[in-house]
Amino acid sequence: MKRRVYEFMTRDLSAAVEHMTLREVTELLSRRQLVSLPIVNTFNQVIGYITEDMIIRAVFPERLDPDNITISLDKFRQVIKRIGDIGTIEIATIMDPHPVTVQEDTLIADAVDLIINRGLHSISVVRDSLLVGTVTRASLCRFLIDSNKL
Amino acid sequence: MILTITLNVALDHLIYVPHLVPNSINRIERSTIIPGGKGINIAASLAVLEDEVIATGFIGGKDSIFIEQVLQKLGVTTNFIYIDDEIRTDTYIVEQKSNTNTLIIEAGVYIKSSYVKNFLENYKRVLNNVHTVIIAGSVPPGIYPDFVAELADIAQFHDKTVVINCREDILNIVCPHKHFNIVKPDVRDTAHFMGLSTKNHQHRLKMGKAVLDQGADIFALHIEEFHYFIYTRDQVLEVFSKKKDMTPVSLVGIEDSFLAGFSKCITRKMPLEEAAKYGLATAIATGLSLNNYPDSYQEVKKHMKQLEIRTIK
Repeated sequence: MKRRVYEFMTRDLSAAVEHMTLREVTELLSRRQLVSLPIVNTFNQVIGYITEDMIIRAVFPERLDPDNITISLDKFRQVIKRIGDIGTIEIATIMDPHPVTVQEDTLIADAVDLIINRGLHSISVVRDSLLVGTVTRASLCRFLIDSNKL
Repeated sequence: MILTITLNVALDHLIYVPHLVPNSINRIERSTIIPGGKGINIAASLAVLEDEVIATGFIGGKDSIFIEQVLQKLGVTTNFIYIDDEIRTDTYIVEQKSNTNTLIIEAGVYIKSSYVKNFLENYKRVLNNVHTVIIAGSVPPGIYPDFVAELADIAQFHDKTVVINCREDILNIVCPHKHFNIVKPDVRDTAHFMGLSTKNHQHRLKMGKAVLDQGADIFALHIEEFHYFIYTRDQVLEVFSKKKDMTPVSLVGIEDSFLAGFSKCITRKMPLEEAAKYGLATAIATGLSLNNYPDSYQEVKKHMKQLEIRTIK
């Protein structure tokens, strides 16, 4: 499979910046129906990423059980209160500062390898270190099925 | 890469009827809803011309993701600021028998200052990706024309080529004493600019001189569907189609496509004549399309052969 990332990446530059608050990033994710976002600096270079998981862990770290996401009403109230408490913290404190990025001409097979083997929701695509797009699991599946390359 | 700014994004609802009869039931033959607004149309055309383009502005409501997906499918990179409210819908009634276009344009939704702040931060970041900024269209409530001047200042500070395509009320505030690479007024409402008629040769020369004296490198003026004048300090060009019987399917996006094709060539340092022809070919391809951008790059190239260019000066 010699196809390249630029053929199917999502051409969107949605990103957060490190001084944004947890609440602002949560709103951004929710509005855009995304599960993760790259974090960029003032030069539009990718310096980290944040996922819904990271936000949930930040809000409710001691009770997080990946196999059982059902929570009681009391716990839910606790979560809401916690969001109120920590919503103002900057995402720089909880983001992963080691983003996984690929160049536009990266082979699709290599992008698949990164996403699957490292359990990532998405990876940022860069050109000369600047953000130019995103590869998500959804865009990858759509491309593979549409182009009948499976 | 080129950045297009559309502060007042719209959904364009194109309604095709044989003949519109007021005060009666009109049956629609065909209708389509597409992302619109001048900067959006320019971005879509640039993508069809296989140029790299980023579209930014404010979008909101249930159709936001639809707008992004349509543009991304064309090859446009999206970079919008999301707002809470639904964006405007502009309605174009195209009467096919008489080739009449009726436009019903909404003012747009109020843009809160917090969104403007986010936009500015995002704009400064994305400027790192581009060599040219095209600011096009109206400003929605909540944003003042001074903001357009601020955007131009920031782009110029970062040594970007700046193109502006707005109505006269905005240009009057933004243009004086600023250096723009290309100025194209939106004269659809009145066919007048600076109190002068776009239909009169002497008037056109006066307005061309006035805009260039204000600091623009190039002044592009639309006369009718497929007819433009281009003014620089050294040259005045007239470009038009040799085919006189061409009837556009609709007028939506024609002028924006001209600016897309023209700007693409100017930013690539191509000769002015070539840029004018390329712009007009793009406009014709859009005029003969059901969309607000050309159907294909091949269509644009096909129309290059039927153009006439005249050097006035």
